[in-house]
Amino acid sequence: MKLKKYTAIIIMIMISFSIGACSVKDRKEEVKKYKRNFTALGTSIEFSIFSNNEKRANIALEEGQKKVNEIEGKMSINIDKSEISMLNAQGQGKVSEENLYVVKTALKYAALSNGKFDITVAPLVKLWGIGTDHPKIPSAEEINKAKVLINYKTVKIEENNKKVTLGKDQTLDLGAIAKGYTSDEVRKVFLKNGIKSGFINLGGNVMTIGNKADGSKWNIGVQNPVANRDEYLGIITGTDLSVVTSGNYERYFERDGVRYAHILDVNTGYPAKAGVISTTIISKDGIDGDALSTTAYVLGVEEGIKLIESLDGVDAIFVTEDKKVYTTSNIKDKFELTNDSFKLVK
Amino acid sequence: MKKADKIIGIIAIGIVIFWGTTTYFFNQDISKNKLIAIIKQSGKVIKRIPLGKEENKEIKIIGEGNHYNIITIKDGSVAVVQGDCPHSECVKMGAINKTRQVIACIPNKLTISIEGEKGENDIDINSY
Repeated sequence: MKLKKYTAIIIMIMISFSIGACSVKDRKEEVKKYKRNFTALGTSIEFSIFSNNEKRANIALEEGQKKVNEIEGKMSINIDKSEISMLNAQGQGKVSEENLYVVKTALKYAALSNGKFDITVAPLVKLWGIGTDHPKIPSAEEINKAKVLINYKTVKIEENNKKVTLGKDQTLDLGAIAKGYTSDEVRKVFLKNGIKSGFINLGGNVMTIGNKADGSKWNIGVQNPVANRDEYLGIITGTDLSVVTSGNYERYFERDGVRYAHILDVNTGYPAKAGVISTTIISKDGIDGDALSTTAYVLGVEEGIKLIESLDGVDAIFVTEDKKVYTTSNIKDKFELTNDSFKLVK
Repeated sequence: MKKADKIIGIIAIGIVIFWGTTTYFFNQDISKNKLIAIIKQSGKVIKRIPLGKEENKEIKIIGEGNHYNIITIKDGSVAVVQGDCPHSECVKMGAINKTRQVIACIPNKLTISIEGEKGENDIDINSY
């Protein structure tokens, strides 16, 4: 019967379309975004990755989070049994590869900055208590006592034994470099799991991988230091970038109308006062960005730009108290100032 | 008998075309649509339209007092092409396609703004 023939034809065509549609779908490899938010390293952390493989994406996120917790467990001085806490308690000891690498890198930046970046600043940080619920303005005597203990030159490393020895009564605080290192390690985890597109945000320390799913570059905002969180004064674009910002708005306390921010100048013993309210470092690795953003903040514009210009593959943005913006010379297409209440100084 | 065959034939082709086009659209890469036009009337969101490159639409919005606007979505932008506001300001604004731009048509209490996938920003992440 003719009716049967038509029905058969319709069914066959529908089937072939469905099969065609299904295979087209697979070939296009549906790319989805996978996210994870959690708290660690004393801050909020966000992972965001694009992948066409749900299983691999979830493994990547899970391993990434595990890596963060693992590093915190080894480095945090807020954890009694961490390697660094034990090292501080005993004045010397064997450490893992990771801690050895981070301490070694920190000492390298200490030398490069003539001691402005110094992980032995721990007693001074503890004294001020900025970022805790008990900040205070220490007396001159207390500050001097703490300053005496700050000297990166008396930290000794024995590479083959993986041993670190501190000077008398010295203690380490890796807070100014650990987040940067962690972002590098999480990136490694993602790449190992085949992730080619995504970003890692460790409390404002940003690391991007590849480009977005549609091939366009990631747009990274630079926090406006005098506005609310997520208000930006400019946009950084690029591929595979680490962007780290240090600012006077992150951790501070105020007393009698004066703000005391958490980045300390080891020479004065007081919060750094180089006229800078934020610095942003663009580099390939987070560990460098983290160390250098603190260093640049303490050094100020003139010395800071000089230092960054002397380094390969690093760019910087400085924002001063009078709302001027200074950048290193090679920054060109990477950064665009979008807020016109700030003035770009050429 | 022949007429019935013809009708069935047309229905069959109709089904096939319908099937083909819906499965085609189903496969559109949604992640490419990163901007959305938000149309509000009297402060309430009445339409959210993705501004993907493939979108091509014309919408007429009628408000109180028979005020109206005709809005087109084309080439990743949204524009008001016709309206009954006195000096056609909304039409003169032209097409918008960035998150900080807004078109307003006051007689019809209409505003059209653009939202990124994330919310309000041109940025994907903020470094602070």
